[in-house]
Amino acid sequence: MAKGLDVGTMNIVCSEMEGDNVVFVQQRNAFLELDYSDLTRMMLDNAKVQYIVRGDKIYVLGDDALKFATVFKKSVRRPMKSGILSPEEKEALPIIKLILERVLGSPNGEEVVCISSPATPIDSDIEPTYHRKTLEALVKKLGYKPFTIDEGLAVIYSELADNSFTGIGISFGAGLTNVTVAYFAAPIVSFSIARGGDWIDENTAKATGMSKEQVCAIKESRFELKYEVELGSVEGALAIYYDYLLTYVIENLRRKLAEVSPPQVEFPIVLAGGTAKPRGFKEAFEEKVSKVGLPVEISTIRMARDPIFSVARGCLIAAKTKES
Amino acid sequence: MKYFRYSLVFSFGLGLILLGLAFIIHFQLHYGSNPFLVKFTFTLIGLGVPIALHGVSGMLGYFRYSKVAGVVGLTLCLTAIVLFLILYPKDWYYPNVTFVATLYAFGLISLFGGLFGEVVQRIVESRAEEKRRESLDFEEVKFVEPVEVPESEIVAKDFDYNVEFGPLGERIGKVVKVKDNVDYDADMLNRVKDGKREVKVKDDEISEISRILKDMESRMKKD
Repeated sequence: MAKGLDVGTMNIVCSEMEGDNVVFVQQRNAFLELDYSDLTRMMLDNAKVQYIVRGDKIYVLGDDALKFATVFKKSVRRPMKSGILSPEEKEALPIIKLILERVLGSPNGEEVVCISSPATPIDSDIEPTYHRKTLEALVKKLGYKPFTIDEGLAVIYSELADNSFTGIGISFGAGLTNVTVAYFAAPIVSFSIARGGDWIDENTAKATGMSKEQVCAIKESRFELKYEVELGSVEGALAIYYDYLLTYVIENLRRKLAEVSPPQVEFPIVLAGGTAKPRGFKEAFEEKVSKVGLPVEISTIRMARDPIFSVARGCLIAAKTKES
Repeated sequence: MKYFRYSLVFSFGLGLILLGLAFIIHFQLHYGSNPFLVKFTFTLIGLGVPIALHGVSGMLGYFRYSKVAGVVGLTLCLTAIVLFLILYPKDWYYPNVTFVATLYAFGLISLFGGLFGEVVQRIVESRAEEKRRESLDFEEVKFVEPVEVPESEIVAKDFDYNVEFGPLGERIGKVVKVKDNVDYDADMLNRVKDGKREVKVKDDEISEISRILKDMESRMKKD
């Protein structure tokens, strides 16, 4: 058996084969800290919520943390920030280990797990080696045989089998945007950008005076990326920051491609990640590419079959090759 | 430290020159001025110039080749000053004046010459060194193999959780089942890695090849 594991700033997704199905187990990479009391514990027990008790604190994990944040009028905390383990969060390691245990489950024999890892950002001093090696160590501790691949490469593995894994995979995550250009499954260019969904949420919240959580909720529910928007609305601010992010990503991709000599073949582009989910995202991306221009031949631009699960699926494919 | 020491020497020399010039203005020195004032003032300036030059040499570090010239220059200048002090005013006439002035001038020429020679020598050496480095860089790039840093194996010890779990001890999360088989993709990936798959070349290249083939075909028909 092999498993794929996408450890993102917002979600942790595990993928594995079950007969003719691929099963994805998704959990929010978040937690809620509450003061211990018998009443609180009883309430959580009745609601069948996942929690742990540590000292005089109760930690509610994953999706339940978001649900109960409004009940207890508290903010959820995240073990990861900007695509890597958060150095500001002292509970990051124990919490992420617990979420990993629950999402991965126990291994059946010597199972291989391929973990997605962020590439080194080109616009910040974030260094992902510590994050990558720590996750490997945590998964190994659970009894698995782990290895890592770049998030952008995982998108290529998941979506571009019919193009001999040649193309450009872009994963628009919450913390980072990961980009990989591969030729016959070998990465030519791989980098990340320290901007993603969180950056859009933060800046939109600042511009409109709303909370990040409210902005995120609007973005995930009803937002459509289009250029005719009502001035002063949340949708308008979101469109401005989406537009800025797309220009920034494509401009950096153009620069990186200009530094290497890409092979003279057609490169399809696949877009994945939760931040790429709003309607109109692909069209906006196409328009930006045609404006900025890339130094390679682009055959198609398309969305991943499922933007949220694409990285986990790519990791599962990579794990399968190691298994065989 | 050495740099600061010599900058102090230079400042001292410059101070002597300025002091001498100030005395000239202050005492309004002329041919008939008090001999002591004349001796004192020109000794200050006469000493100040070689000392300042010595300070400059020291600050720039030009001592490798100019040391001998510097010592000779300083000695000549000091000798000339001593002779001036002995001869002035009683025996300060031709050819003694010319002799002392020539001696002092030779001292300064020796000091300047030493510095100039040193500068030229350094420029020649630095250019030669640059050329040598360039050739070394080329050799290194040509023969050095890229180094792969072996990744360390980290074994994590368990955290001291001291935690108590709530209900549902098994796997948690939103479960989505999709009818899909990644075996095909994994097989493709293995084949690509083994070099058994091809990739589509650019359309314009295909068009160019088609055009050449059609051109050849039409020529063959004509023949």
